[in-house]
Amino acid sequence: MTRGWWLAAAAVLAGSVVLEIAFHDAGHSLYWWHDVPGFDFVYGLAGCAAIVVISKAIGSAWLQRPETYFGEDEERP
Amino acid sequence: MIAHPGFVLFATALATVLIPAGVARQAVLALGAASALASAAALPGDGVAWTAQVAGYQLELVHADALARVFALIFTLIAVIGVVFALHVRRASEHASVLVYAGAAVGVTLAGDWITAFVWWELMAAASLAVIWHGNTPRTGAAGFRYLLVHAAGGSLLLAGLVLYVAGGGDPSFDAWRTVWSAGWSLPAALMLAGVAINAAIPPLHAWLTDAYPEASVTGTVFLSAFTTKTAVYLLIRAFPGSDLLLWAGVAMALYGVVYAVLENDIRRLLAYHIISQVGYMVAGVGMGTAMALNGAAAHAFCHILYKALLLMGAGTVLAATGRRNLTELGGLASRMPAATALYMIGAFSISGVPLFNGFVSKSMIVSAGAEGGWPAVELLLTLASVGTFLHTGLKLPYFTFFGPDRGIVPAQLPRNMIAAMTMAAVLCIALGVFPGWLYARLPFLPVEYHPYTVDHVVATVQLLIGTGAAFWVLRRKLGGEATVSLDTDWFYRRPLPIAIDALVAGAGSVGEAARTYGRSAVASFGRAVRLAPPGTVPHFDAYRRSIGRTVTWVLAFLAALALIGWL
Amino acid sequence: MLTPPERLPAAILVSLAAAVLIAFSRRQPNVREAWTFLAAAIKLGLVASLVPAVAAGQAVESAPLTLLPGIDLHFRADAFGLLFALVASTLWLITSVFSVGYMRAGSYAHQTGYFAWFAVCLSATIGIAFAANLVTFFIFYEILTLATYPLVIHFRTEEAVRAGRQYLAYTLIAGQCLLLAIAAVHVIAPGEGFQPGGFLAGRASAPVLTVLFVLFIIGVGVKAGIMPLHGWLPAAMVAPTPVSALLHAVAVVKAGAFGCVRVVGFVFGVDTLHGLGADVGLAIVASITIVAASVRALGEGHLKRRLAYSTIGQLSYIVLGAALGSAAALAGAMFHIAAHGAMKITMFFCAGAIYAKTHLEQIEDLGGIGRRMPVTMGAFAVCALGLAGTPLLAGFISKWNIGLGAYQADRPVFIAVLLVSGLLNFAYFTPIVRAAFLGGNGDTRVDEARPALTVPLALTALAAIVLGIYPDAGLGLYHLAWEAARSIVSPDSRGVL
Repeated sequence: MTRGWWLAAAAVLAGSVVLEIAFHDAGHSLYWWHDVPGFDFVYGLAGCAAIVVISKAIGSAWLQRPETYFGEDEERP
Repeated sequence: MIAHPGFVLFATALATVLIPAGVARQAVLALGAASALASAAALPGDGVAWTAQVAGYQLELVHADALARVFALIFTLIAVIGVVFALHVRRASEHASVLVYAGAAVGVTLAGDWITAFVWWELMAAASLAVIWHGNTPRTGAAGFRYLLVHAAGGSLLLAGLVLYVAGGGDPSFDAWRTVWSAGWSLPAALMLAGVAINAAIPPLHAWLTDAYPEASVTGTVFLSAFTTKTAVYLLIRAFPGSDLLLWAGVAMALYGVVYAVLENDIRRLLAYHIISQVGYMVAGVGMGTAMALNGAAAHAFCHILYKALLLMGAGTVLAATGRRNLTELGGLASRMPAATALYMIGAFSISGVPLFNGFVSKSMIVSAGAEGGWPAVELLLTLASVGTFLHTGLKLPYFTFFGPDRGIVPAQLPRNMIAAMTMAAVLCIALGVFPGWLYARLPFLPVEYHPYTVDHVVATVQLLIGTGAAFWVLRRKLGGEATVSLDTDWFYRRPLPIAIDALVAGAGSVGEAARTYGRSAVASFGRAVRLAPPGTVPHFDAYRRSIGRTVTWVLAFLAALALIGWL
Repeated sequence: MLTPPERLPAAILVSLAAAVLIAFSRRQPNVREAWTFLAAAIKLGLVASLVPAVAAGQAVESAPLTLLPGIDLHFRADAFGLLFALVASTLWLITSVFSVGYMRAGSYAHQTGYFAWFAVCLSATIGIAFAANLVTFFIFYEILTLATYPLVIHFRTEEAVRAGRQYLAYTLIAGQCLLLAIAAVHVIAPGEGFQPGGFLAGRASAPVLTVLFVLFIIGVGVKAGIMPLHGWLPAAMVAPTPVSALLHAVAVVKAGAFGCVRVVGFVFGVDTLHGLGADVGLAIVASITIVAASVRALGEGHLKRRLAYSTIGQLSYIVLGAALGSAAALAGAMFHIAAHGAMKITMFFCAGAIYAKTHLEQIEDLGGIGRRMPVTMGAFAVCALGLAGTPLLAGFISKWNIGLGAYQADRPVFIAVLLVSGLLNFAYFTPIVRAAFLGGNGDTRVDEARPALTVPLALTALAAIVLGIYPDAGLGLYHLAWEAARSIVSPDSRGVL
């Protein structure tokens, strides 16, 4: 089943890159990344990985504490 | 005589309290909310429709232009959906709180001057506190208390700015304010912006939202997500457009929420962090200040209210049906809660900006405004935040809650009105996504020259989502929840501040105690010194007890006699 | 019918007469209670009848009565005095209903004396309100002190008597300071009565005036709860709750605050004090009181004592407004007499209703009481919001005006004091509301106190809401406050009927 999803995704991706190249509108592109086909796929892939890795690093280094840290699981008047 | 939708909601709230629980009350609720929506749709065009002279001030209670009307429309619309979602709730006070809250929010949007807006703003704070306190987690009481103090502080900042502005001769109407704001920063403006920023949950002033929203009831959180932050966004668009500070604060907000959401285990708190992230888009749009950006902010607010409500309703149904809220305890619910799962996914696609859903038509407007306005970094960073949004709401949360490893949880049956409400929201999300023109025609700065369904927009979004999905699949094991809490900026008033306050109070108490003891011994020494009591004893004033009553009587008799003599 | 000038002493005497009649009706409780209601209604009618004239700018004055050469008993109803008299008489009528309900619910002893002395206190209060000169003011001020003593020691317990003694010690000593100051004023400015804008300008050197001002403030400051002269107030909470409600939240403490504004605005004048630098001093003392009292309130576990500290803090809003001296600040301060009166009396009524029903006095015991007594705790919650300055409630009107006034007086920093106080108000009231509605054991049977207790508190809470939305509702209190404030800031010829 998972293989089916990967294949479908790859097909859609390929199709999107083709469309991107075919309908590329140079007048509308303002920055260099608007001209690179498939840029958004790479950005999503790398960005997602970066978010996960960096967030988890910040979390374990500074932010995360045991659930009972604030000691509020009993009502306090 | 026009009907103020806020007052229609207040009247409904009153009716709800007076009618006992049952079909009659449910009918009144639904009808009342629907009437409010109808009156919001029927608001007259530009111009002041209702003024009042109060305490020497000319207040504009209804000043409806396009911006006000689109917000009033979505507020009453979500009130209808929320009311339907909550039809099964039996406590009248809970219905009354959410309706007053919604009504006050509409009041802010229709206000034509700062004073009126402030009055409704504070009523919103009080009503939302009541909404939060209808929750039933162990943390509800304390979280609500912190929420109140933060909002009281925010209201105080807004009030301080407003008092300084009005006392200095300023005209409180929003029309006059426009000139003031275009002249640049001033102390009143800074104070008022700070007050509004707290309600907009701009970090570091945001922790109240993620602290308190998940502790409200399943139905209450739906309302909470809609009003406070979006009223703040409305005021930002109205009063503080075009500020670099807001632009970068918005971008930071968008990413801040995403980072914390990676670490979050509680599904409703995760969605709360996403409120911050999405409001960040709106704040960034306000900061850009161009017509397209402001349109985008308004459109995004409209769409966000719908899909965030849908998401929270989905998470709420999970909580209601299973009693569980943590990713570490959930999984495999899709087969047993198919409707909730499907409707949730519609919300998830909307927030992620999937084409044909409403998020796509609004979020991309802001991002494009960033690109066209000459802020490339903004375009890239907001796109990154989109990646994070899809990751959490579209992938992580549904995977670990609905799909993924099955823990054999058997969910309870859900009341039909909850599914009905979710369906309403889902239909609207898709409808707006497919026919964005309806929304675009109601935005504040017409005509809207943005076209979401161009090849490059759609293609870029599709690629982004596939990339994110691929990365998620590879990294999915690292994304399961952990049984932790993440420290946020509220740490400062949850750890050191209570200790400081306790010390202060104890100190004040001991000063009082010491003064009393000192006073008593001073009086005792005085008594001994003037020989009122034999030396060496502590004068016991009760020895004089009887004479005081008589002395009083004698004195009064004397005065009465004096008055009598004088009269004669 | 009485002419307007005759109504002034009549308003004072009607409750004195009632006191006598009450004393003679010991054996018939219902007749006895009827005297109270009759007197309260007549008094309110007399006072309210003066509103049209005074609101139009004409003060109503009665002929002076010479007690001794140079010392006149003189009554005048100006805007400020009328405002105070209206608040006191309206609330007496409502409190009487509550009093009857409370005393009968508890079947307490000494009820005849209680109602009689209560009536005398209200006489004295109206006398203070309508006093046209310092001597008259002083006479009735001291009568108020003495007449409240039996009410404080009502329960005749060890603690009550001690509290009463402390009360007298504070107030009588302050009275002596006041007497000294008044005597001195008679020397330097003989024959002068209260004048908008003051009459002491240039009558003596700056150091003398400063010392006089300090004496005056000590004199009125005890009743006004200015720190460190406030110690009697929490102790006096040992009195029956209707006493705490009307007298120690409205009449006595407001008499002190009223006196403070009279001294600032009608004896010294804002400009004179500004020249002495005394206005800043008073503002600072008031600010310290506001904040310190609120902090102390946080630490109080006894409900009425927490309300007492709240009162101390709120009274200094009035003192602060007077010290700031600008028109809006004065108007806000004067309106706060009414606003705080309505809101605080509601909260004391709630405390009384709770005690009558459950005998609970400590905040930590009040868990769940809100579900049992929703109207009572609802009114409490509304007034808590109001005292913290939430809009649509009376407290916001005064807070807004004092804040504006701080800016007008070139001292915007005091706005911060008001805002911090608002936060502290939330901090010490919210836990009560929260425990009442969220705490307890889930028992949701509604069981309010008897109507005689619940109706008054609902009425005063409603008044707090109405005054917050439309401050001129009913008796035009907001208009009177502004009339009086403007007269102090820019004195012109005052009209005499």
